[in-house]
Amino acid sequence: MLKQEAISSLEVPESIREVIYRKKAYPFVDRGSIYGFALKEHLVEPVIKPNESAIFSLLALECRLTYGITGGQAGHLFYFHPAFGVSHVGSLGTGPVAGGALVDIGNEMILGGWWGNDGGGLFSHNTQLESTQGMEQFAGRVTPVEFLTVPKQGEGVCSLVCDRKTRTVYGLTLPGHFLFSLSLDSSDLKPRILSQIAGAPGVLALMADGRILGAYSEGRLWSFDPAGECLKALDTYAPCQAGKRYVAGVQSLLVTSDGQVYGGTDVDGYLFRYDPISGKLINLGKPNRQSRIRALAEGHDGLIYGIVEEANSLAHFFSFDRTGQGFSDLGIIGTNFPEYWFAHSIGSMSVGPFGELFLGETDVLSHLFIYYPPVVRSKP
Amino acid sequence: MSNVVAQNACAPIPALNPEKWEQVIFTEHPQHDTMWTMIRGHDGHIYIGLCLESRGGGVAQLYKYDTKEHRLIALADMGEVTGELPDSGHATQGKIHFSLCHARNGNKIFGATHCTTPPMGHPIWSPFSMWGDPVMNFPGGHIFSHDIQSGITTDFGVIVPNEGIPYLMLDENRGYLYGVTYPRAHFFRTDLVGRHFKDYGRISGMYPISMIFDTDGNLFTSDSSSRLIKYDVSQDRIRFLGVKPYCQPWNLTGYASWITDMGHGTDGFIYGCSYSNDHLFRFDPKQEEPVIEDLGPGLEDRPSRNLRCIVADHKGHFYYTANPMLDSRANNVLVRYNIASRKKELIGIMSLNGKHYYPWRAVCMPDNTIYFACIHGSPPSMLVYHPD
Repeated sequence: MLKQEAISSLEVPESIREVIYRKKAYPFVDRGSIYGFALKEHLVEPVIKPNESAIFSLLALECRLTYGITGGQAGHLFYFHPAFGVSHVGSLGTGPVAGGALVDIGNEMILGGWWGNDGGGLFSHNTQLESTQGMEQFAGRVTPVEFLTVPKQGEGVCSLVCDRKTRTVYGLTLPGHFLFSLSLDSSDLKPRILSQIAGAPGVLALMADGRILGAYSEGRLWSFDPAGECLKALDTYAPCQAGKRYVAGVQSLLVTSDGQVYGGTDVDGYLFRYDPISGKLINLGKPNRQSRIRALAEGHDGLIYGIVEEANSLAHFFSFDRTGQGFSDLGIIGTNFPEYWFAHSIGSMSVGPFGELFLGETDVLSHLFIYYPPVVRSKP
Repeated sequence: MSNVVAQNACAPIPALNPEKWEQVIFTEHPQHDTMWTMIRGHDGHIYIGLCLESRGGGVAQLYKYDTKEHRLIALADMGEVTGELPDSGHATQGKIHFSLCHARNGNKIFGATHCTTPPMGHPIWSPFSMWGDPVMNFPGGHIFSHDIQSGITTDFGVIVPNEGIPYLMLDENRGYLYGVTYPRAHFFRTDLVGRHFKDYGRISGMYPISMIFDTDGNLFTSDSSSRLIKYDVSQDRIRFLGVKPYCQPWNLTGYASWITDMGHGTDGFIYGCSYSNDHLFRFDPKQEEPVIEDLGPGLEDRPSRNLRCIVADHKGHFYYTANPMLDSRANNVLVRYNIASRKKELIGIMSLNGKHYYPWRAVCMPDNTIYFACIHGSPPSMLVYHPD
């Protein structure tokens, strides 16, 4: 055994250090492929400025367009086209924007909302023109946004889900924490307040039976049954460390294809699974040391992907294998192409039609990342 | 030909003239390997941050080179100053990067510590991997001051936990220190005792490696793609100016091409150069939206890259270095640029007595003696150039 003093003076040749850096200390995602794009619009002077580019919500559509809401000192709706890159669709509001939500309501329509210092807003948007672009067209076309009546004066929108069966959108507002619904068959698309849920974080999940799942301020879950318009406090709590219940909460919710609900906490960084049928909640553990699970998505490979990050830190991308392999830390989001950029903060995710994952950075100078998980080897 | 660069049909470049050059070796710290910062103190002496990057447990040293007695004096050990000793288990306070600043109307030097030196016993250290690790992280860069008269170095503590401070600039008129963090590249401001911290947010992919004040107190820097950034002192905000110096046709995005160094010309312009594109440039800081003027390649007769180490003399010249061998640590060429005539003159390959030197910063004394701080060498040494 070497004495400590001898170890300290050990000189390692630079060539060996470089190999160790590359093979044993590489902190960035290298399972699969990842590309990063600045939010500079295609062929025009960029409208989305620094401090306005934090991507709070992403929605990847079957038509291969991915829409995003940015915020900061101002808010914007943009879309990413695989050929044209980023196109600015419209400005959202007149003041600072702190969050937003997007949902696919079918028939080539999306619904979106945002919230911020001046309240916020709600809009619908027809994607048809933007999704039918082709050869010998060199700039992204844009259809104007149609702004709708807000659920309540002074309130903005932080979360949206859509029940295609009943053609109803449900949403949450901030700062007042109002749950609202909006019938897609109504002529005026006017939202209706259903309840005020004090302290509810801005997350909603539409369960397979049509109920809406959400959370109260200390991590207790609630459900809303649209049939009876009944809000019910569940006897179920998102996990937290002992003694932290008074600051516990839910940061993210995801309904997977098997009907289970996965959630991430905003204290301690636990991933949990809630079974809507049995009502049981299981703490699945922590992907790493950090304390907030900001976003979750279900990959086409069956893995749950997520972002764990706490304030003023470095976000880590992780996966959770439901078949028993558990968590894998995939690393920090970093790219060399087309942009040389390392993301410190990621706030939104959405899965594209081919299983690619779109990740939205939330920083002063934000980027859109596309992660392509590795293709599963089918031949020996 | 070992000390001569000959590429294609270009004329060979001679090595430095030993009659005009001398080396100063840091014999008290022979394992240290790098100098990123060197300033000319207003007392007429040179102050240096001596780093140990490549060995676990290394601790940076603050040095003075007495220009009258021609000797090196170790002023402060950053492990002792910060209370973070080499065997702390953490990444050590191994570097003082581009951060030494000298107060004009006082007797103080300000500086900051920086990371990437491994913990003791570790062959490497990755700042992204070890971020937030309670055992092996970097506790954070400290801001310190050194009183030239009393010799006392005062620690103002960690400024941003987990982050190094690779750059620090002193605005003595307003009583502020401006800096940037690593690895998160946030621009910040503190007062002169490291308090009243203000974070202006992220400004670059990787941290900037060049900063300069204009005469009004505005600060110019760049992101890692050469794009010019201005801290507007009257508005107290960062402005991303969106302009960048000349980029090669094969690197129009300015990929991995920080502005490496900038200096004030006698004509009121700020002169600069960049990492991966081999042209000099200048701009007028008085312009609201500066237009960057291309001054041509760093070496007129051959391609190069990694231009850096700009320093003005008192005869209307800038000196800078360029490297005609891509990704080579050897064969750095010193060039003299005449501001009035715009002529570039090759001085020589930065090689002396058979040893290659890799300078990153330089300072010029009133008598036009130029000191070069070099990296990648143990024992560490600086070069002294007596042009006349």
